[in-house]
Amino acid sequence: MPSFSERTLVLAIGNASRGDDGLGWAFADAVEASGFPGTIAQRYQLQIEDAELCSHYEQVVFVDAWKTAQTTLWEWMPCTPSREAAFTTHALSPQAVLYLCESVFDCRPEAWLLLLRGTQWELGQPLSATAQDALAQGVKSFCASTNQSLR
Amino acid sequence: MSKKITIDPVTRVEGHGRVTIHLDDAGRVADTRFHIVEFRGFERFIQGHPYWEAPALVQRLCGICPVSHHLAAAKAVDRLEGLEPEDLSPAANLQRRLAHYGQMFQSHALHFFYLAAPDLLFGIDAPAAQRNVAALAMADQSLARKGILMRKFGQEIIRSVAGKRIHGMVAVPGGVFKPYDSTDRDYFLDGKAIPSIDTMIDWSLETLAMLKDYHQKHHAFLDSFAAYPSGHLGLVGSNGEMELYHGRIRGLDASGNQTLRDVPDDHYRRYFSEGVESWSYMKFPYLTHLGRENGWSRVGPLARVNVCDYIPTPLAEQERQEFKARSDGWPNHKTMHYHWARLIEILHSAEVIRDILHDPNLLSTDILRTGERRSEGIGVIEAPRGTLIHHYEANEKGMLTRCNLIVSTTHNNEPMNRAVREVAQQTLNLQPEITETMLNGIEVAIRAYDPCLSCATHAIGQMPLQVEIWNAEGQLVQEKIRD
Repeated sequence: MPSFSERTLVLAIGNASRGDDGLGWAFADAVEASGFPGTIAQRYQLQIEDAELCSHYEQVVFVDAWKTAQTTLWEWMPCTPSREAAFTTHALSPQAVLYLCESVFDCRPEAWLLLLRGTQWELGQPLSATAQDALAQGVKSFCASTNQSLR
Repeated sequence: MSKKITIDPVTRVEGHGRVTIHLDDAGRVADTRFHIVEFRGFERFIQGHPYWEAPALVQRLCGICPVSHHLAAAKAVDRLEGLEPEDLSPAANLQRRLAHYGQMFQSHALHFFYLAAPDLLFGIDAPAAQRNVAALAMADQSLARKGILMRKFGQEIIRSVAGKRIHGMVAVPGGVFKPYDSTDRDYFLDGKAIPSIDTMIDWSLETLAMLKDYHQKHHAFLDSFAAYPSGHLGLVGSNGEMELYHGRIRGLDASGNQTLRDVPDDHYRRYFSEGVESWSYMKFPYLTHLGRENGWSRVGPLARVNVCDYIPTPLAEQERQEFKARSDGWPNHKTMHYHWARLIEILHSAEVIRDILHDPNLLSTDILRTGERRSEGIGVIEAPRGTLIHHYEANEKGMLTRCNLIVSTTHNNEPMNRAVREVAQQTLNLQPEITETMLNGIEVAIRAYDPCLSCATHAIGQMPLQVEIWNAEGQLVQEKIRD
């Protein structure tokens, strides 16, 4: 597990109005409250300008809700640059953001995906019990890597 | 056997559209339609809400130009409060203008660098996988970097006024939400944390120079592709100058004669009607006195440069004069020149932003005014894609009872349909086989207008484009879908 610091950017993706899709933002709020020394940014979706933001950091953690058939509540995985072609350029994957960061700004931060499992996605729903468990464990894991304790 | 072609989805535009092309028995283009198949119904569900909520609610129409909807609604709500734009304090007007020109700057930068430049740099016959911003980054790192930083600058301007880059709060009835912070002003002027506004002006000029150089090499394509005569529509200031925040509505016919003579924005109902077609959720606005067939107009950058007498910032005005010289004083009807006009507006916006940042009134804490309640309010603004009209009525309790929105892209509905027809006739007539390049050409013509189909139908969604070819017997013979 990496050790995160003030040179780390957390990019939390989600929408708090759509049930467990708010996991990324809930994670950002919890990590901020823990005293995390790095930078936290919340996004509905990743955009091209986020490549420029990533270029200012040594490490980037993308946090998003995870719709999966697995029972695992959370998962870390390395994230590497990857070029992708899509009909729109308004919503990019983390890999595409890293690709632009490297190709346009000559920077390649270390990057990870932190996926938090969710189960319900409708407008106005609160975080499900599963999502709350995933959030607690994900935050605990992240804080262990930053030597921060939850307040 | 006649055919019908469908392109679905149309790529690198906002929202979801579909093109169908009908071929006759000989393989000639008999008819074309640009269908908008989204629907959301903002005009209905906003009814029953307090009128002061409108600016916050309607900006959810769009994630690209929410500031335009927010400010058009705010101007309408000011009138419900009994206030005309000139009644607001200087600081409130400056903050709103700052957000608006920041919006114009970032939206135009997004369109040119992310959506249109790949077509110009690689050509419309390049593979789809190459016509995107990632390939642009590989081919011209400096251009891609400037594009990203220019978009970011515009978004940062919006954030400084609204609190957030997307769906923040600039305006409240009669003014703005908070005084402007001198720290934010210095952030844009000193060039320490981000490139300064002076750098943005330099880069805008460089991008214009690049486009003019491209035009010299490819003028046959840029001057003729999807070109056709039309009317043009836009706001102008009291002296006929380009005015993007508040002005009077001016219309020109294809020969440059005025069809709307600088009429007050809140008189729009006297002059506009909206047609409907069974095959699209997007309406077809037109000037009532000219009728549905002749009263439609282009809006947006090309139309605005055509209708104004001058641009009130020096560098952009110099560029406008050069641009106008290309059409010998006549209205410019070249669809691909939308890109050129858009870059002139980027430069103008940067100059306006610089002037506002240097205006001492920007930091004043006098930001709110009050008036006497009215039952009706109309707000008209020039959004990045063209003239945007918001119209509300409220009852004595302040609840909205009626809402009508005529969105920029809606004005361009008929022009985009004409552009599709032009390109289809130029490239598809009597062809034994419909190729990818031919269909790309149709997308390029639509893309020049920078349509926002989600806004235009007040609908949610992305913009995939679908193209279908149908024969005279009504059979689908070719289909192209991107997702």
